[in-house]
Amino acid sequence: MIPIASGFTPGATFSERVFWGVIEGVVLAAITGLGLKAMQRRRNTRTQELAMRALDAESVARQKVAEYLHGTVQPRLHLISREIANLNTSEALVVSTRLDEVTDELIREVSHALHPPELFVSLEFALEALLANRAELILDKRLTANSPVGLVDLNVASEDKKYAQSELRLEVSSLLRWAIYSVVRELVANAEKKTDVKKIIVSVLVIDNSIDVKVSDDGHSLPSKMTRGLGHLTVEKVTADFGGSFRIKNLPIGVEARCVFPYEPKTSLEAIKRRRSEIDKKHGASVV
Amino acid sequence: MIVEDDTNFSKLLKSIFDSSEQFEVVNSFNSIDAFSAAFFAGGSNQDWLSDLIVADLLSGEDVNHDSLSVLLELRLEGYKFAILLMSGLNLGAAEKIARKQGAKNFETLSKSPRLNRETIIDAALKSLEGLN
Repeated sequence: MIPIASGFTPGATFSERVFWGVIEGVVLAAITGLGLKAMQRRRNTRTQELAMRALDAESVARQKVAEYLHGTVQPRLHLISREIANLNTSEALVVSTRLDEVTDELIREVSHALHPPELFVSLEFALEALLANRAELILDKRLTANSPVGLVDLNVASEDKKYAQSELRLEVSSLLRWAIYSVVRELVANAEKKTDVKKIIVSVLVIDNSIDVKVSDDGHSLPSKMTRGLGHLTVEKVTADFGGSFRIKNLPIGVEARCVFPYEPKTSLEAIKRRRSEIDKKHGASVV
Repeated sequence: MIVEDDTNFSKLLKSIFDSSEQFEVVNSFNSIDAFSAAFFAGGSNQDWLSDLIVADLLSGEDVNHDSLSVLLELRLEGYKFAILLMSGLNLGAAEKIARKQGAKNFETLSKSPRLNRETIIDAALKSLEGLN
């Protein structure tokens, strides 16, 4: 207010008016800039929250449709196939076999595209299934069945617990599992397109508060000016939706694509404890 | 013991095992959660467990609590039993995961429409080989 008042004070010299005018401009610009930055930060946070909610809703819908196809439609079609086969004619057996083949092929294809059912089991199971005979998988031990959930520890007093917190298996949300699986699927498929690739290595490691996913191959290097294809754009979008980052670089031999997802490590045991009361109610006993 | 959420398939398995005269089904559970509830409620004793546990891979009420993880963890804890894992999913990954733990007394069966009595009994017997 002072600058404005001073700037328009009757009798103020021209240079005084210019001086205060400049000061006023600088102060207003700073205030407006700070306000805009704060507004932008709030907007970004809100956008990130909404993006995660949209992703979550999309993921739930995909999972439900995939579950329905895999758990209801496929068994029903198999049942019909059995009824046809029970007609006990050679034609019926041919039709039954063909129906089974088509059912398995189509249902698997569609349900896998929506949400690979292997992801319902674990990230380890899904990645092992995805990469069998295609790539070597290096998975953080705390994401594998070789790390205990601590089921027995859940039922003993704290002084008798066998495992330290750092030894226990880590829980990865189904949404993040899907994201990791999706980027690995895209990046491995991309690496496989290079005809000179002999070996692909996928590593998924928990490093501090992030999950570091790397896919490296021993094929030819990337050109210095590279146009990103659909696969890389998909990977970029998935990682960005999770607030992560995606980089791709040439190695002395081959190429390394790397996605980093923010991740708050929590053990599966903690997650089980949170769900425990709900399951206890169902069974009337201690459930792990 | 059978852990299977599909009641009809569970009954079918029980009738196949019981009628084989080589097995006796001592208990059936409709989920891996119900199985572990009973196991821990029963004092988590080796004696409570049967020689063979036939389990559907995805029989958990909680999708983050699959049969493979629970059963492999009990074996990691030193409990001895054979596992026959069944699923409509490709079980190659399960075999690979189990192999990392030695994979003794572990067999898988794909729940295909062509699954028959002989295949089930053969796989069950194979999973028990050398169990002590």
